[in-house]
Amino acid sequence: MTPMIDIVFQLLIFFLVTAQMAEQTRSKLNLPQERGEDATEREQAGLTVNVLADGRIVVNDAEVPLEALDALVDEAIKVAGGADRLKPLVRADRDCDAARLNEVFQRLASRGLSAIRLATERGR
Amino acid sequence: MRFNRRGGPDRKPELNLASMIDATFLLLSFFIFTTGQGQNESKLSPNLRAERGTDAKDDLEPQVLEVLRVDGKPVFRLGSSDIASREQLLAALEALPQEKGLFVRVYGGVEVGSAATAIQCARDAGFETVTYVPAK
Repeated sequence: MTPMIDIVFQLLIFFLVTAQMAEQTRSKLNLPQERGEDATEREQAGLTVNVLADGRIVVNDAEVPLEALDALVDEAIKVAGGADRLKPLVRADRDCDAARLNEVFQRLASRGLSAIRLATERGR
Repeated sequence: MRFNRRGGPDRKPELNLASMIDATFLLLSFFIFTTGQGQNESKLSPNLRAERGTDAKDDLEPQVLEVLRVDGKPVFRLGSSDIASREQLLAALEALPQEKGLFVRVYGGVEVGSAATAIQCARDAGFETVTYVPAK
């Protein structure tokens, strides 16, 4: 019985940790219900900006003011090795005012980014 | 792992694999489940371009789809015509020359969902180059 109990406890810990990590990396959002594109290129890891329905901006599970995005984007560009190699993922709530999304996009464009990814939910 | 040494010192130890197989199958089912959850999310990848003032004369006849709110409802404006439904928008975009690309200018007041619909319809209509222009 001892090894089985060992494994059961280890699995229990594993599930608890992974469940918590999944919660942290993805904010709860109602994404736009669109099919999206057929992804042929490999997904890049990089900056993920969450825009909540009330306009709040969340990056890495922390709420940040719009002005703070510049520093985060600059850091991500540095890590990616150039603005042309960074394609940030913007996860915006479908009920959020596009004016807020535009503010975020203008910030990203002002740092030299020319392409973004807008997250959608496969609902159609 | 517990080795069974019953039967004298000359006998080879047996390895009980049952619990390891149990754990492996459980992990397998967990990964299958979590992978299925993650696939629910997809992406649209438009280009991004900040709106410039009057110096935007370098684009020859850009095709612009505007997303704005008129009389409290989201409207897709293509040239002089206002389109309200997704099906009509798709049909109108399919009639345009796709090689020129499309600029999607989104105004404040509409929901993000409408902006995503415009980009999705442009992609579905066959536009390879779709550029999001955030309206000031």
